[in-house]
Amino acid sequence: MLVVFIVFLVLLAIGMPVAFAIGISGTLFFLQHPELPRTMLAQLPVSQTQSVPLIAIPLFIFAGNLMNATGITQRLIKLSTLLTGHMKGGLAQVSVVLSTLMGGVSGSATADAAMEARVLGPSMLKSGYTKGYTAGVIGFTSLITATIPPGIGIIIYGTVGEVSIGRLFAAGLVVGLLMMVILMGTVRITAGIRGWKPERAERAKLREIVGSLGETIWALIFPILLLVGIRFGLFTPSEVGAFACIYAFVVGIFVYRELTWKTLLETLKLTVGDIGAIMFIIALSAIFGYGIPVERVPQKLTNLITGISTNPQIVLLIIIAFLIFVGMVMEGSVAILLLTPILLPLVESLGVDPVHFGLIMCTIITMGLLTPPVGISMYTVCSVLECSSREYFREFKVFLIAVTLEVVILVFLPDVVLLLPRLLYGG
Amino acid sequence: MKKFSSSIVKIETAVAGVCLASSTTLIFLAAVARSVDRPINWSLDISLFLFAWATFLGADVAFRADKLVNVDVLVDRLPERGARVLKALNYLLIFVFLVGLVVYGFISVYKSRQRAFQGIPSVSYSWVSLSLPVGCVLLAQTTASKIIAIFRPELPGQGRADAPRGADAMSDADHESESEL
Repeated sequence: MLVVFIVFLVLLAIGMPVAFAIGISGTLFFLQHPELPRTMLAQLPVSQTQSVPLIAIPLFIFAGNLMNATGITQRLIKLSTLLTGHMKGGLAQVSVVLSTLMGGVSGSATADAAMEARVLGPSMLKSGYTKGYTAGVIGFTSLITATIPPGIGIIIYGTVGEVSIGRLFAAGLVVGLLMMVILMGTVRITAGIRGWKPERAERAKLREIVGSLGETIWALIFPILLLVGIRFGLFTPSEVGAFACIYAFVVGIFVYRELTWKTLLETLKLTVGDIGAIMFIIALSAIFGYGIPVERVPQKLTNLITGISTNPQIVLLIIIAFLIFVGMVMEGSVAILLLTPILLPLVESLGVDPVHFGLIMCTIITMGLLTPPVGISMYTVCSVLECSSREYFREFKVFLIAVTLEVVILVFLPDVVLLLPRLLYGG
Repeated sequence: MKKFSSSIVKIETAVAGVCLASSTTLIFLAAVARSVDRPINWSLDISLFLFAWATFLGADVAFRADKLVNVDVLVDRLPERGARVLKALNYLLIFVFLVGLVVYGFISVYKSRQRAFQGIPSVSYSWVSLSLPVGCVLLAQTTASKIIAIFRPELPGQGRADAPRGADAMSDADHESESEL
């Protein structure tokens, strides 16, 4: 398997699409083991698509694209401006709150960052925010979107690691809200130092806010509907994905009346490509993953790490350092897909709660979207805003500190992370 | 060739789109039916079958639109010529891999013809496993045309691979120009 890992990294480095890098390097394992039938190479990817829990991933991507097409995004921007426009650093606060509200609409940090860079970016630059700060705040707040249910990374972790999606979603809601509070604090402090003005002169009137809430309630209650639906066994996680699509469809047609046949077709077209890109990676990862249990990679890694220390806290810190590194050099969902089967058995043997670890892992890996050399959200935001990497790095430290603080809280206060899952599910 | 490619894109997008929309509806209806105690047993099986096709056809849609995520930090630093050679090498490896998947894919389609799909005796599992080799034939065609495009740099429609490539940064406009090549 060592050869497989090395070839995988080499192929990544020479710019091969991740899906093929996984497939081709994984094939080497079968070439090393001639006793395995070669037809498995073709059977494994197909059988990977035949897994019921995994269906949740394409369904939630579809639901997110549909929600966007319903016109709900515009209404959420209005609501966030009403809620936070009067604070110092108003537009930056809007970005934090908007990412939180978008949490129930979209499960992808990159999609949220791209949207906000296009929609909020120009007006932030016009109001005098520096390019680097604008890119930083938009990029980092998109972590909230990926954490609040439904988040694609969390769904992948739950399905691959066979951890309860309902519990993960419940924990994600708390962690996402905590991240919102931390980032709002960060913006408050930095805006105070820089003297950035509020976006509106005064607080929005309660009546305005209530009116806007009425318009956007469909997106806001969605994460809660998800939690309730799964908790009370109304739906399985994959059924909830389908429910989310139908929900967005109905809201778009009957409530906002903006979803037309044409936009529906456009959305479907866009979604086919999005799903193809991610599901192809997941399908081919079956070739890559086959050798991992065969060669007892998790056990070997456990022995290696417990050789250094058997103190759970220290081992967790070693794993976190490793995750930070991996998050930097690998695309998020791929890292979660490939590492969950290796790391989860290890931390479980140390007595770490799998839901707790899932949130730590997803947060750190998603943070890697904002750091070089492989930071897809970073590149997206910077290219939309035409922000050079030097400007980005000058401002991104403060947000890095904020998210590090969040990770520290996650690691050392598992009770906070597990608060809602315990309330809902017991245990 | 241009026309051929663009009609392939249209057809595979349409088929994958229909698969996606119908399986979503099916799963939803099955959930509703179950809650009123009228479970539809075959719905999940059919949805899985449709998803396999949506996955492998969608993969080619994404590849044609350059939507498959890759890491180009190192490649971008290379001089133009070196980057081109590396790209060609990449696509060549991909092509060989895909041909392998097509061959073994069709072999396993043939072998699984007797195997019933999810316990439905009249439906063969081959219909599911067929999705991979078919998707890989399309992907191989895409790879071949990408290789040809590298060695015909004088063609108009250049300027690819200059912009940093984010997962979502690719617009439909890029898609159009890509499939023209």
